[in-house]
Amino acid sequence: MGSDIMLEKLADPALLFIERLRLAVEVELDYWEDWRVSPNLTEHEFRSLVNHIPSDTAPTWADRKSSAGPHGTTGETKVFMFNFDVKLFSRRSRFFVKGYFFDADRCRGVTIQSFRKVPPLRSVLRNR
Amino acid sequence: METCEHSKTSKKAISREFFGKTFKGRGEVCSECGAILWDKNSQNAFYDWVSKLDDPKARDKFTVQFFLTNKATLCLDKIVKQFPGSDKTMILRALTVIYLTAVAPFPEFAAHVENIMDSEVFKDLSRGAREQRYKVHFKPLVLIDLQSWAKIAGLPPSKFMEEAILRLLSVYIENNPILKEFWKSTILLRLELILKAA
Repeated sequence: MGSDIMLEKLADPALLFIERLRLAVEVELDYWEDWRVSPNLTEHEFRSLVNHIPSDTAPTWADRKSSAGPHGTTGETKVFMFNFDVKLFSRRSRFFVKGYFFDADRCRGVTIQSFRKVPPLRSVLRNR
Repeated sequence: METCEHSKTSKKAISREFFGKTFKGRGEVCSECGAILWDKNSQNAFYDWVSKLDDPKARDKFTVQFFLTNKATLCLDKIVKQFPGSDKTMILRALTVIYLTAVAPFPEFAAHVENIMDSEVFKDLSRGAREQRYKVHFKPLVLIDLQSWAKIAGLPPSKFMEEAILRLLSVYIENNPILKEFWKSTILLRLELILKAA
């Protein structure tokens, strides 16, 4: 799909959140790689999994605290956050996503501030 | 879950390891948590660097070694016979690429292949010692996909390949009409194209 067509689609207010996210990732993705967290997940893993995010995902929203980054000042003022599950080779993994769309006046991409595997509850309780 | 929003950043040297080689560049780094920003420029520079890595002298670096059971190897032999001019390595490479690009990224296809795990065919193919050793060379850009999916699954790349191949071979053998149609429409078509282009 050409970028002009994608930008036109991104402007559609009727788009579901996940449709908007998938399109925005294709147009332009800024990705903060948190290499201190294990496993360290790159933008490649995020792109690989974006189709696995359920279509009915409804994120929670919060005020964005930071204006850093190439689209920090032009991006939307709210950040989205959600978890989603992926099952692969009989192992279920949960992932956490946090980010914001840019630009606020005309969506043309997304910044992912955090993408990480959520440790299973068992290991969280064991480490307490 | 508390996460940093990267309010304080500065431009620094950044690097990324890939199969024993190191990509170096410059990018924004968060002063609070150390996170590195990969924007479109740094992503393009990294993938451009990876695409130029395929050095015939360093072939071993981009080769994945894994093991299959004897039964899985017999199944592989059957597929080789269907494609004159091909060999086991070519089929394995093609099946891996198909899994990485046409199965894993799509939940409905991944679920089809996952369901095979309950079948007797899969259990039979997986049973026994995995003694047949294979070494398959990949172009670096394919290895990025393999490394990614292996990380997502929490497995080393070689183990991921074994599991993906066993599943696809099971789909190939299965008599279930849905899986037969899936093999024909999703896997076989791509297998033919990849082997023709090889």
